[in-house]
Amino acid sequence: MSQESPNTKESKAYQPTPEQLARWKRLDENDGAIAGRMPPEEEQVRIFKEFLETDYVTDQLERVRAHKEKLLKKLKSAEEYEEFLLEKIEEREAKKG
Amino acid sequence: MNEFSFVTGMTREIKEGLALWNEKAREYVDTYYQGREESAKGTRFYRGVVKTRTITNNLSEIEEEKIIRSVFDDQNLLASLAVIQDTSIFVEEELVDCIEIESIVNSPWNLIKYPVPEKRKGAGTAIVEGIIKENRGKGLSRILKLFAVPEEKIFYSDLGFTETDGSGEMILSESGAAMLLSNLDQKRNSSTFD
Repeated sequence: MSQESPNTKESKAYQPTPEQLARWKRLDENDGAIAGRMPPEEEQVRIFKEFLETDYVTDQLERVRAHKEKLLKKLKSAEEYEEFLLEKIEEREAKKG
Repeated sequence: MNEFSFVTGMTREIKEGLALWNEKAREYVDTYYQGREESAKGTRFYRGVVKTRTITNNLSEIEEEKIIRSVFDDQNLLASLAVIQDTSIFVEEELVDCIEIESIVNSPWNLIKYPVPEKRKGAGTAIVEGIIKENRGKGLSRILKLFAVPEEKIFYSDLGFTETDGSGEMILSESGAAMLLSNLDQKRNSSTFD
């Protein structure tokens, strides 16, 4: 049974170049990742103050309720149109008959 | 090297994660910035709060119209969130499919410069890696496009993104994406970097 050298595991590991090491270090140092366009500065101030001054959960609840209201209106409109089209089909069938 | 799990779609855990981000960010403002907007202004943490807020203010609409991707860390905490959509770009006068990363934002503990216990380096890299691997798995385009503010360009540059026209728009090409994946594999197999 051969005895494993203590260095075997380390020698199997990939040996990065100094450039790679420097890049990996930079990636970790700069990893506070943000991407995407930011609002204009005044808007950023307003948004940050809003974050400090409003309760997140209550604010989210208001927003989701407003969104739900919009969806219900859309649903109502789709249902009305569906009803209208069904009536049209019925009228057409009645005329045929 | 920290490992993260990649999550597709908007789950309850993400909603809980975003609520925690808000709670912790408020704590950090009080602890590190005297509870004042002016003291935090200009920091990456500040930009992250603004970016997160612009996402959460439109969460329902985003959930309906866009694609949400995220990574969770070894503490099961939401570490980074991305809003993406399919788009097309011209590459050598040919229109090709591409994934536009509309937004990426890391958790407040991964953005603040102070050494908070929740911090786990690598979340931003992990979410970009996850998006590339997801699209490769589906046989879709691995070209990524995003907009980076000047302070963040170096990070995306180191990931392999290149600027297109100086406006902040950056592209990661198919070959750039392949190189990034190979580079991250090498990093994982390296004993000299942790």
